[in-house]
Amino acid sequence: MTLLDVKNLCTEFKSKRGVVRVVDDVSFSVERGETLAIVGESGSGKSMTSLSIMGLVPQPGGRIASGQILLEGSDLVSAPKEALYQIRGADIAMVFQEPMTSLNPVLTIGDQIAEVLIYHKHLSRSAARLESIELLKRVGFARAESLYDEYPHQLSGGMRQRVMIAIALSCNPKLLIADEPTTALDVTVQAQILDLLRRLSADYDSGILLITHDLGVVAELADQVVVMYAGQIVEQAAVADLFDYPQHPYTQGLMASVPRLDGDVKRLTSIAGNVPSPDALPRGCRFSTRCPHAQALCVEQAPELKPVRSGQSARCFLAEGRIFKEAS
Amino acid sequence: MTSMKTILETPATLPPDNSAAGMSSHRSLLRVIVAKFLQNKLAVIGLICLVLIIFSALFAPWLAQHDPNFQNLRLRLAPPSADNWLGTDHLGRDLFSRILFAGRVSLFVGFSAMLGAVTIGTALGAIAGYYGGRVDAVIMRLVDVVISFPNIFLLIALVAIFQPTLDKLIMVFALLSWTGTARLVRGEFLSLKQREFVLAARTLGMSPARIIFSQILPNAMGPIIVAATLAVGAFILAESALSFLGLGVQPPTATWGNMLTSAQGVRIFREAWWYPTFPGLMIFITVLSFNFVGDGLRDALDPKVLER
Repeated sequence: MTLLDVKNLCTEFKSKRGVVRVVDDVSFSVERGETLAIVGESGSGKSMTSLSIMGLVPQPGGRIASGQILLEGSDLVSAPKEALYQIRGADIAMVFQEPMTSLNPVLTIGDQIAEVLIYHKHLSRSAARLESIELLKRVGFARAESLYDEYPHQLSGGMRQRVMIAIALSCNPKLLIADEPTTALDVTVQAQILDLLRRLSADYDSGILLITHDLGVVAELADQVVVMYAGQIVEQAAVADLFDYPQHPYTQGLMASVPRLDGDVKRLTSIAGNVPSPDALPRGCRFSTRCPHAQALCVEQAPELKPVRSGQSARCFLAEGRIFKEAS
Repeated sequence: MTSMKTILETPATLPPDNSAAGMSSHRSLLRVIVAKFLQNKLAVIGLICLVLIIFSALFAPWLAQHDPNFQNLRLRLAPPSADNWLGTDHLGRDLFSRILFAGRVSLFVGFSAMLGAVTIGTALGAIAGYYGGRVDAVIMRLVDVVISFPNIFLLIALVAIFQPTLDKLIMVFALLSWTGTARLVRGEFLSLKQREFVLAARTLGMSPARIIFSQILPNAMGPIIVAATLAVGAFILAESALSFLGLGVQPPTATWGNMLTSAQGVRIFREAWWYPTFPGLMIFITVLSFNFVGDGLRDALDPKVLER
């Protein structure tokens, strides 16, 4: 059975200027042992997608307007609140971007791991202690015993992120959502953390939903990639296809803005402009305002997400073959 | 916001991994706070006074040489002497013994009322701040209502209707004084609930109650402890004032306040200075000590005043 199946997810916010849809008709699935990356700029709706899966869309104002989120076949959107308390932390766990702030500053490392074990696995305090130390060893701490009684401010960023991962993995979750897990870390530590995530997902056979804007991280860790733009999926592909044959101009732009070691690229290109605000979206294709290939049709009509190669879909008239690049 | 969070967020400049080096030089948070507190001379003096006062109250039966309520009418308003260290009152009772026993009552009222007020205030403030919206609006309007009661008149009215007993007095104090703590805790929660560790706790499936009390509340303890310390002093003062007016704890049970009641009068002031002086001095020293300790704690717990 598919581990996570997100079907036509729409998440909306009520604001003073009306209802804005920040996640628009997003569908994807994650299998056990597989890593799916959601890529996009700030404001593309990727974090909101992960919070929707968690059932933690910010209140008041936010809600899942329609769609289904099936975790091993059972729908989380329609599930009662109490059931979600059991699922969060036990079946789905999350690692955050900022390891500096996502640990509670006044509780010891040990207390924070043990609390989850006591809560979800109903362990005694002493059993939870032993298991916490085991988990800390598993994420690579040699001196796990002494770490147990230390406070977050005594650790470096990379160490804290490993503690976060230990907490997230404490109940052996089926799905791990990693929201920019390496963004706040320095490069050498990033590699360690990615390595750790990969090893642990293999050990536990859990699925990983990786939220990132870093294509390097995607290449390193992901099997499948979903590219989001302004709340919509614009391209969906296996990682190799996406890097070799990017179909959507946005994906191509993202690729071109990554520095490479091979080739003699003198200048890095960037995509001009910003993601349009969700309450002021263009009428046609949402990327048309920034697309180098945009034509009249793109401004008029919104393209749909259509399969363009085997196992690869894109939301673009160009990729569909309905328009062609103008000679420049 | 003032809270302990910034202390803890000070980036640790540490070797990135498992090296044991530097670990022994880590000062735990508590030690930093204690060191900071000890630097404040007034706070330390206050703390020493408080410890002495609390001990003397606790061990009053062993320390007092006389029965506090034994009247020796032949020794009325006797000056301090070897037998009556602080003299006697207008009924010939030993002042030193009475002051010790009165301390038990005064401190008991102060601490109990503080516990009541801080518990109610913390619980309501935490709920208001965490949930926000309508819950917050209702609780804060309740705070406004309670604040707008004219306390002293309400107390006088209540005392006029009911016989003022110790537990009733404590209850009334607690029910009228939780609002400050509630506002303080609400403010702390409003800012703390935005922090990422709260979201992290939610993604781990923790219930709101668990997040409020085991995740957020420990982060707000600093200001609560300071407020609680200052509150004890304020309640002792309030009890003294009420007792002085004859509306608090009723004689013959001694409190520092009601000892002053019978010490009024020009004749006593002129002929027996020790009678009003010593109970008054006790109130003064105790309340001042609580305030010094409270201020010391405030500085010790405030990350902005922290030097490392």
